Amino acid sequence: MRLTPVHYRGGAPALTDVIGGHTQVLFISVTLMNQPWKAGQLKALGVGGGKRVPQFPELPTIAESGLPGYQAVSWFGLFAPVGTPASIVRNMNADVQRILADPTFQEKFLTPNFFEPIVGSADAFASYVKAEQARWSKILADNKLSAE
Amino acid sequence: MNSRRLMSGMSPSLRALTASIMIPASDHRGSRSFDQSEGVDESCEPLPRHPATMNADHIPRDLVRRRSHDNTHFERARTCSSAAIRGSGLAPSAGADYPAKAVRLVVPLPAGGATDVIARAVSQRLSEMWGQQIIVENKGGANTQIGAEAVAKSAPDGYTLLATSEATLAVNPFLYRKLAYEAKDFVPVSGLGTITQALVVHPSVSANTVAEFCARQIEAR
Repeated sequence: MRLTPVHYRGGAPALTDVIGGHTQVLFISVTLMNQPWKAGQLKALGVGGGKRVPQFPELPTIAESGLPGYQAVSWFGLFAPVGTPASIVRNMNADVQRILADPTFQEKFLTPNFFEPIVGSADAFASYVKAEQARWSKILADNKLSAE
Repeated sequence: MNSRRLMSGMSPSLRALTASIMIPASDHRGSRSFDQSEGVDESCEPLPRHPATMNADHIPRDLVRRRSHDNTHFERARTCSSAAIRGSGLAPSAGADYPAKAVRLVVPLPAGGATDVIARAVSQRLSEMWGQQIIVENKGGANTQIGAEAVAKSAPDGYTLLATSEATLAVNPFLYRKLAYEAKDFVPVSGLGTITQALVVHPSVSANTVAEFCARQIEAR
């Protein structure tokens, strides 16, 4: 399947162009496409997570639409320079996890912005990062993608 | 400063003197000065921890009882442990006073983007929890490389942190031949969140499902 990549500085200009018909297809965060989609300016074909987005139960995942294992998810994390004392890392993780687990924070910030929290210890997050590195290195190698 | 290393080379009397000086300053929200010449408090006994902290490594700041005017359990515990510290010649463990000053959080992406938004929301709550400022600094450029490099080169003392997307550690090392940092320059602290991406098309595109879209694109080749 041939698609011509068009590079943008950020999601907002890319969204503007697909709404305007200058480009035809786009991968964009559900946060940014929510309103134009509800307004009928775009058609949404599927979402890239492992399961359907709770706010859009009618939108299938791409994985269940014929591409099993497909994943298109952005994730965000907190890092420190290597050598930062383990006690600081551990305690900071505990503090951040408390914030992410707080129902008020979920209700007022996470859910309205379509974030799903990443739960777990610093070691669990380190494993997550390793798994993501393995996944991305394979995607880039399989598709012979590089920036230079 | 590695206090244990500093202390081990000292004579016993100097060590005791140093220990009394190095007792952690009471937290800035209120300190109780006590007579440094007090002996060991005979009434020291283990005191119950706050139930919410039973399994925690440390007690989050907002569960530490603030200084109150009656002689509360936590205040007594501090007196008790300070007296024990004076007696033993040991210094407080690394990180006990963290953060003691403002923390710098680098976001290597533009203000207002998803990474920036979650970094600021979480750091605002952390700042309240810690009673210390967290200064968020947007340092974008080269697909997060500029900001990441700045943090990689910072002192690993907990006062410079990086809040970033998968680009920095999961993508860039495989996308670029040469990077200004390495993945191993960082220690993961905590995941923040994920946002699912959606495949969207202009309404004029005839496909209504992923399967149709793929089929059409393959035909169109």
